[in-house]
Amino acid sequence: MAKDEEFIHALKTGDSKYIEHIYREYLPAISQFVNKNNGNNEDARDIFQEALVILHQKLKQPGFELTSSVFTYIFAICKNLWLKRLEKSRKLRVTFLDQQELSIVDELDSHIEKESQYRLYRKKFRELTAGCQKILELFFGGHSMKEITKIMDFGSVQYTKKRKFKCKEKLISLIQEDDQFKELT
Amino acid sequence: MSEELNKYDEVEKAVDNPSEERIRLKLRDDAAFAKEVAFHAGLKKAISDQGAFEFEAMLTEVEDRLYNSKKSNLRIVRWAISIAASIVLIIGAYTLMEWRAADPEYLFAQHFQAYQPGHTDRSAETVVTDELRAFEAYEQGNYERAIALFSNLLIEQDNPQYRLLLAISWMQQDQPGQAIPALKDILSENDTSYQVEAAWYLALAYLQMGELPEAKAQLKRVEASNSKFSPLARQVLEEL
Repeated sequence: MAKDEEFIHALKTGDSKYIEHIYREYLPAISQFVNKNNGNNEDARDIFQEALVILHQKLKQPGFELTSSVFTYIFAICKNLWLKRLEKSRKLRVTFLDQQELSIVDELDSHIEKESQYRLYRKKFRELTAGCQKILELFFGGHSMKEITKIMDFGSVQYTKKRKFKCKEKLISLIQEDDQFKELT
Repeated sequence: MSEELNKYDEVEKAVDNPSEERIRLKLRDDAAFAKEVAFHAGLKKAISDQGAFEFEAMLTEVEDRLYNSKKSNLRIVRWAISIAASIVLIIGAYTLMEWRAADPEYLFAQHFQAYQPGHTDRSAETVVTDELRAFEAYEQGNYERAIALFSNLLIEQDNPQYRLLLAISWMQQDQPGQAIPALKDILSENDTSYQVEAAWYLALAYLQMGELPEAKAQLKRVEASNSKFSPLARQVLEEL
C-alpha cells in the first residue's frame, strides 16, 4: 500500500522517477493482455500512456479517491480502452471486464471518453507548425486578436485573424481525419 | 474568404458565454450547433491544459528512456536530453523565424498598405457624383461599397485610377483573385499612369494568394523600375 501511495503521489505530481517504476511494474501485464487480444507492444504502450493521463487528470480533481489499487485502476482503464478499440475496428472481442473492473470503468466512463478525445486533440496540435501552435496557444489562452498581433509582431489584426483561422482549420482537419476521432465520435 | 474567416465566431462566442440568453436558447434548440460548440469547447480545454502537455511529454520521455534507448547511464541520458532540448529550442526558434520570413502571406501583411489617392479638394463640389461617393467609400475604408461604386464607374469610363482603387479594395476584402485581373489590365494599357503602383500591388496580391514564383517575378520588375516602390520590392525579395 505504501508503494501505491508513492505511485499516486507520482501520478499527481508527474514525478518521472516513480512513473518509470509504474511502467516497469505494470506495463508488462498490459502488454500481455493486448498481445493476447490482437494487439502489439506499441498498442499496449499507447493505451498505457492514455490510462496514466486519465488517472493523472482524475487524481487532480478534488475529492477523488481510488477505491482499489493503482494497478487495478490502470488495468481496468487499459482493458476498457483496448476493448473499445477492438470493437470499433471490428476485430474479435475476446475478453470481458470482471465486476470490479466494470465498476471502475462505470465510475470513470465519461472521463475516459473525454480524456481520450483531449489527448488526441493535443497529439494533433503537436503536429502543427511552431507558429500555428503559438497562435492557437495564445488564442485558447484567452488573448484577444489585438494582443496576439502584438505578441507575434504581425502587421495587422486582420492578418492575425486569418492566420488563426487557418491554423484552427488545419487542427480540426487533422483531428477529423484521424481514425481514432471517428472511433471516438 | 472574409465571410469564411468569421465562420467560427458564433461558436467561439458560445464557448466563452454559454449562459448568454440568445446562446443558451440556441444551444437548447439546435443540436448541431450544440455539438459544434461542445467540440470547440473540448479543443479549448485540451489545448489550454499546459499541465496535461507537460505530463504527456514526461511520459514520452520516460518511454524513450525505457524502451528506445540502450544506454543505462541515466546521467548520460539526462545530458543527452538536455542537449537535445537545447537543439530543439534553437531549431524551433529558427524554424519559427524561417516560417515567418518565408511566409508570403506574412510578408503581404507586413507590407500591404492601402494606396492613398492624390489629394483633391472635393469640399467645393456641390453635386455628389458617383465618383465622389466611390472615393469617399474608399477613403473611409468602406471597401465593399467602394468595389460596387468603382465597378459601376468603370462601366461608364475606363480609368486606370478607378481600376487600381477597385483592385486594392478587393485586396482589402481578402479577395486578391479579383484584384489581379484589374491590376493586369492597368499594366497592359497604353496609358502609363499608375503602372508602377499596379505592378507593386500585383506583387502584393500574388503574395496574398501565396503564389510565390509570380510574386517574385513581379517584385523583380518593380525593383528594376527605379520607382518609389523599388526599395520596398528589394526588401521583400531579400526577406523571401
